[in-house]
Amino acid sequence: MWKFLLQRLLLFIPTFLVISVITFVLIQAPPGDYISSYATQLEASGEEASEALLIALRKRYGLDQPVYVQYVKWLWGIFTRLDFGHSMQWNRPVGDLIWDRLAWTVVISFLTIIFTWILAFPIGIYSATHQYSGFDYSFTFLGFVGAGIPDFLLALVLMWLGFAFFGLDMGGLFSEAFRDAPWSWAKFVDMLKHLWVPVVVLSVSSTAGLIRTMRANLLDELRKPYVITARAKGMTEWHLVLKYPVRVALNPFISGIAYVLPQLVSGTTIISIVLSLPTTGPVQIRSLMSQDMYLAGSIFLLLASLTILGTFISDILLAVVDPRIRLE
Amino acid sequence: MTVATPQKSAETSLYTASQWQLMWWRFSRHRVAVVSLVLLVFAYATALFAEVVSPHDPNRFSSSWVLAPPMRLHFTRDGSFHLRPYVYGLTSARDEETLAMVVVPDETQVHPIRFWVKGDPYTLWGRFDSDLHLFGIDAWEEQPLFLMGADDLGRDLFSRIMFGARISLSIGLLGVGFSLLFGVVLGGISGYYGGLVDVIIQRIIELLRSLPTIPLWLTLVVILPPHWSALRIYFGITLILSLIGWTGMARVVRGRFLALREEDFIMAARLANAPQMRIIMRHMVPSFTSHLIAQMTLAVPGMILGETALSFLGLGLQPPVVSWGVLLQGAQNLRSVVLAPWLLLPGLFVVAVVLAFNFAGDGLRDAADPYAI
Amino acid sequence: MDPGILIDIQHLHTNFYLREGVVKAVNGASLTIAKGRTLGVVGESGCGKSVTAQSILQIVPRPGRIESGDILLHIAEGDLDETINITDLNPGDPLMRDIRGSRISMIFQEPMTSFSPVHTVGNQLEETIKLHQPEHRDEAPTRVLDMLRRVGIANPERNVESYPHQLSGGMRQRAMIAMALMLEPSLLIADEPTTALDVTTEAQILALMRDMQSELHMAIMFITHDLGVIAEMADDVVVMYLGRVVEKAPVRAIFHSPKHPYLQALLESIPRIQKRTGARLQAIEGIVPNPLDVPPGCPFHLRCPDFIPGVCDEVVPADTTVDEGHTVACHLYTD
Repeated sequence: MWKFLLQRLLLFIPTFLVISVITFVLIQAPPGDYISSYATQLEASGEEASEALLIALRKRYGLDQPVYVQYVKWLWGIFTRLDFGHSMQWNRPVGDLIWDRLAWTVVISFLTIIFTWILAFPIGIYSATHQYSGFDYSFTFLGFVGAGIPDFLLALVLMWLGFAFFGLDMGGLFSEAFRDAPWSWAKFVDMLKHLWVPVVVLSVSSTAGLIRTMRANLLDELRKPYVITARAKGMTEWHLVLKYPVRVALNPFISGIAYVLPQLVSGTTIISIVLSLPTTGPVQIRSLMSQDMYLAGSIFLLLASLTILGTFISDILLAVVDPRIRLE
Repeated sequence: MTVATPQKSAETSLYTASQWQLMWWRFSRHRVAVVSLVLLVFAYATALFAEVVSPHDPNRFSSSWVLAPPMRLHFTRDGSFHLRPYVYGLTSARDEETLAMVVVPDETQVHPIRFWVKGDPYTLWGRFDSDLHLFGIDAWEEQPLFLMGADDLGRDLFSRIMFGARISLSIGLLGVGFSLLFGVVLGGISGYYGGLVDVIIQRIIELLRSLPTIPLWLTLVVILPPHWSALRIYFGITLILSLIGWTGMARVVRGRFLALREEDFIMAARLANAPQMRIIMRHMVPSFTSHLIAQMTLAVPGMILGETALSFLGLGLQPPVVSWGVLLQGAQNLRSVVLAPWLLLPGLFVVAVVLAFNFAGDGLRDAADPYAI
Repeated sequence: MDPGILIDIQHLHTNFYLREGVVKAVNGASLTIAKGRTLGVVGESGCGKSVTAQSILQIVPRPGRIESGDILLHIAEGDLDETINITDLNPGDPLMRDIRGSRISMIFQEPMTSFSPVHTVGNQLEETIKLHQPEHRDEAPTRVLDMLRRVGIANPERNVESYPHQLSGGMRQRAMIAMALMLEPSLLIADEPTTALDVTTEAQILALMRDMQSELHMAIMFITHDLGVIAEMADDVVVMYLGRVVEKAPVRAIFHSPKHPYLQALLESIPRIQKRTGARLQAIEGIVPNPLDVPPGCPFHLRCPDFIPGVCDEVVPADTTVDEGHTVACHLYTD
């Protein structure tokens, strides 16, 4: 068990390095850099961008150094000081800009996973044990529909309906009054009143997927001989289903986290634009457009690490629930 | 005896039917899947003939028709029913509450809808010049036909959706084509050779699948040089979308290769000294083509949704190129949606096509293995 | 009811309702299982022998259902002496659940897949006790160890903590037998328990089953397609074909004076060492008919060498007693 965990953990480090290289290459790939796009901006507003100023700026941000030096410095800063570099657009350390936002991305994704599980688990079990019942058919159909609606569209429609029929503004995470207020119980309640919108929007498609996974796995498991054995032992049907096939069907369900998490982080990015949520999404898009490389790169690196961490966690959980993996 | 006795002839035809025939029989049992397939064929045909099907030039704009609401089709006039529907013309009026100028129906103007009317000239497929449109109204020049309303520049949304279909639907197919190419080659190599190559390719797939797609796509899309032509951007984005798509395809191919390698009939072919290429092409490929087709059908929605999301965020295709995602950009903020909810209509088309692909793909997946029970 | 009889099955019909039609998996079978004896059930795959066993426990998988017939279970224990008709019970009936695993238990062909892969062997064995004797749950671990020792599992203290995939095939089947015998049932149904095992392990398991039978005085319903195993294990034999019982007899009569043409053909198709070297091995002509489309009359008439036109293809033959305890369902033996 410990060997397995250590193995997985050791795999995480090279993966992180590979992603950091990819990230850096991608961020460097667009022609020009922040300074050149800054110069174009200045020129557009009618100001003169002197050559000397641009050179000075490049020097200050280390953009005049070779790419690999920039990369090593960046990575070194991350490993030693958790310093993700400097955002040129905001003229602030990247860390200051993203920790809050990353936290919101994590909170929203985590809540969505919990919510998705609470929904998908019982529905999946019921659908499988009552295959071809009206309930099963309606949820299979709803599952298809849920998987077919892009989340940002759903967010838009919800916003529109809320506004058009209830006069509600469903965007953001806080009401006007609480936006800059210090944390209090009232602010927390206000947050919950807003938080359900992104959670529901995001969980629609992942719930649909998980219900289908659970149903399919359980249907497979219900046909296995050990179910007949348990039945022949004299167990009640519910006790039997919950103790054996559900337990076995749990494995793919848990490994599902590994692909649900990237999907959620991805979804959070886009619905944050629509719902104006303070997550990493809007900042990432702005930084990409203005070639604010350390900001854009760090966001992508952190999001990718987050989802890979999710894979790691699902591996651990899988080892906990499945002796076949644990004892290998 | 109440035992159902199958007809002798039906039984023989069951045993002699080819694999594809069996698949079709199985598929046609899924009524929803068949309907979806028909719908998809119809959608692609429409996209192919977008110039003819749409009543107007998608770029024909007019300040008089800004955010004109969709026209209702009427079938009854003076209390009697007419098979030929008609619409009321539009006129500008001042909203009594907000005092802003709005476009409202004018019941004094009656425009019957006719087939094959003259309209904006176009060149179909860069070849055939014409000005005939499948349907429209006679007074098209003064009074455009807005079946689904107009956008913020007074352009006909229906026509734009028809042209958008061409980009959005083709990006789905092209993206899957690219994915198939990468997936079959890399998945095939991975499954056939195994060993270290397999491990490396599997690690790459795992890594790619664990990355959040939209942030990755966004990062990649920025790389496309801004001075590229619309066509090149289109191909670039398709390639970026298939960067994730191929992994699913590769998994199917590799999985089938691994499973088939163990099958007796492959062993038999090997023992019969069949050349390797013949074993692959003659025995292995036909036995997973059906799975691949199902997988491809199920992969199209991801492509379409990806393009829609990127363009919606303003980082994918850019106007004047028209795609469903580009059209949805117009609905990005709440204010315009509240003012003109019909701007969300392109989303309805996205959902319909994605659902159709999912249903059809699901039916195909069930039919893919016609010998299973 | 004869006090020596444990189970009496009369005209059992169990059907499977498929989309393609109705499969009459058990089509009017009648048989009896005597207390403390072994009944061998033989037949090709699909002849309904497993479904008959599943019907006794009311665990026929969906879309199967017992359609009609009686399965009488005779319980005589101290003062208690009663007969339960199992077909009157619901599959979910508490009394039915009570019978399963305690009075009648079952072992299966695939010991690997018949155990849950994610629970320890001990957990799955103790469960039987916890289910049926919750008042004795504290003794469960010791009783499990004791039973594992009795079925010849080495080092039971360690193996009780193992997962099924850590045991060998033979060990798994021993554990399976231990689980089935935990509550000393009066009937053990063994559904091809040795088919998945190699020959040496098979011999060991068969020996174990005989030992346990003499220890616990239980009846065994032994289902197999292997006539060799039948010769070794059974006291009485039932031959099934397409959901019907075609011949019933003590084991000696089955091998020495087979009556039904199907059984005769079956015995002809077994290779023997001493007999008739140089002769071709006989195979039964034709194939088992499509179970969705069972021919009228005798189910075997399409393949029968002694087919009587106008009789065999029209009338279902009734059981005819040809000897003491030996009946056959064939028109050749009716008067």
